[in-house]
Amino acid sequence: MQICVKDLQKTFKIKTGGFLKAKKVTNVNAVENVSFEVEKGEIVAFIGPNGAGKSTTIKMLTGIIQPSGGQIEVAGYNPSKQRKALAYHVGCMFGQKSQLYMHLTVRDSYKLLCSIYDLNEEQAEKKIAEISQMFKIEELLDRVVRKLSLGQRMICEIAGSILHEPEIIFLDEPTIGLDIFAKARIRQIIKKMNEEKGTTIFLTSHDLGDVEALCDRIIIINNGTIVTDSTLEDLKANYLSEKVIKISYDKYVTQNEFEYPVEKVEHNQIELKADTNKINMGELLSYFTSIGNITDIQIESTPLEEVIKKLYKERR
Amino acid sequence: MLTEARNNIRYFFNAIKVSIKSAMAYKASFIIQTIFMFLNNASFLIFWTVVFSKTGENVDITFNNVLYIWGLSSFAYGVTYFFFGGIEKINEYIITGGLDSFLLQPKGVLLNVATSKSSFSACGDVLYGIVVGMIASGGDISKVLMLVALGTFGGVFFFASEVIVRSLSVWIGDTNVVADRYVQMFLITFSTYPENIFKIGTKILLYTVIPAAYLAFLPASIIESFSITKLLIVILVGLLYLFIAVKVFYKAISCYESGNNMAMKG
Repeated sequence: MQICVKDLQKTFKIKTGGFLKAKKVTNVNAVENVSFEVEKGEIVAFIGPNGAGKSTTIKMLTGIIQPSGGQIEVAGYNPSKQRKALAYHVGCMFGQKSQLYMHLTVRDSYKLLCSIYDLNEEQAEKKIAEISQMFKIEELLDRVVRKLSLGQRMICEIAGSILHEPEIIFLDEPTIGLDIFAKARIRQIIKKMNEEKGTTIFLTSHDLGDVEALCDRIIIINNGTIVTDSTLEDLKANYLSEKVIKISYDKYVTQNEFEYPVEKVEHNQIELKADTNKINMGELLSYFTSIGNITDIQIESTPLEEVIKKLYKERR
Repeated sequence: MLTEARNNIRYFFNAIKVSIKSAMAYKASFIIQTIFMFLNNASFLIFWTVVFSKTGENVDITFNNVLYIWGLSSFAYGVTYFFFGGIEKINEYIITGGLDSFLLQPKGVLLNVATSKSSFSACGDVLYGIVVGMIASGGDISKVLMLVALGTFGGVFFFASEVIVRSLSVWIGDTNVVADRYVQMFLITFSTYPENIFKIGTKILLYTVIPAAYLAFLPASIIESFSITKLLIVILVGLLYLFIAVKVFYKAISCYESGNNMAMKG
């Protein structure tokens, strides 16, 4: 087990009013009774809307902030008590915060990071060469960090976070603000790290493309509590069974020609919804084929965004 | 333990190297800031030259004593902010969540934060301190070396004062203005005037909450006339200040609640 969290809680005190002493202190539960486990080599998406408790949880897992209750074990360490020892085993990349030094070149930033993780000069040179080859960033090494594009910087940030070969990487919004090409590159790199090094990846993202492309498992958190902890497959099977079907005929059709409820009829095209858990798709398609000659057919799943939205609402 | 200390020392020197490289990224700015800081300090020397030419020296206040005090406080200030310029950002890091990236690393947070930034103009202060020490001692290298040693240790008082006041941001909100006033208005101002112009009430303050006495007055008198007792007092009080600063800082860290502001390291 690489991450083990049990009944995790974090309460923030919000002070309002008063001059030297607050008139009112309100306790806000940012994280409440959160429990989950992550196995070695898993890629887990930890998602939820803004303010759901994602970053707060990651910050507790990495020892940045102290939990108000519960137990955490990451790579065999207690982050609250063994922050420094744990730091050698985990890497972390916050999309909104840089660990590189803006006035230095990427290489110099990496060298300093290497010395933070006690690598000597020779080991550092070797590691930088290996990582830059793996991430294909050799040509960026001697460029000043502030002059990199956002996409280049993100790739350099991720590379920087694994210089010390961590067993677990926490990625908080790794593709925030990136274009589709940069996103694809980052996803490819994350996948590669997991496959080649067996690194456990714990990822938060608002981009469900990241989740679908990378993760085997999804933990959804909302209002500080876990809403769902399931595999992507299960989530799809349970929540993505509803299909949107668009059928085009070689002639104009009307609503009353169909016994099955059709949502939309437009010229020669109809649109309907079908739940694969309740309806036999073969029989359904045979029925619509019997109405006329089909020229085109499109079957789409409910977008994952819709599912997540539904789950958020269900637990609100 | 020994390995950890060795690794920390290696990291410290690497961080300094990086700070200097950062400074060198803006060479012209670095040189201009250094020269102007030197000239800024020198203007006070002109002021004291005029004062002494009008009033003359007396037993309690001598021109040499003023020079040593200036040299010591300037050197201490320069050393502190050149090597540990990051201490000025502690409050900002606390308020904006900037401590996160330091807490993720396997190094002492205080060392990591302190060495994360270097003040370029501080080189002018270091240079000024040495020049003033040479003038005051008439080129006596042993006295200049004492000024360098005591000035370097005097940096502890700037370091501790900044760390204590800025760490309070965790509990009372941004202490930037308080820290600036405390260090710039009180500590620096009081440590650049001879001790004997102050009355007893002020002197008590300068030997307690505003440690100007240990930063400048006592070290200046040690250079002028060596006293082991005074030296021990300076060292012990310095270590006490440092101890309190480290304790306050780590207490603040344990109450740190992070934040989500976008941030880049300097």
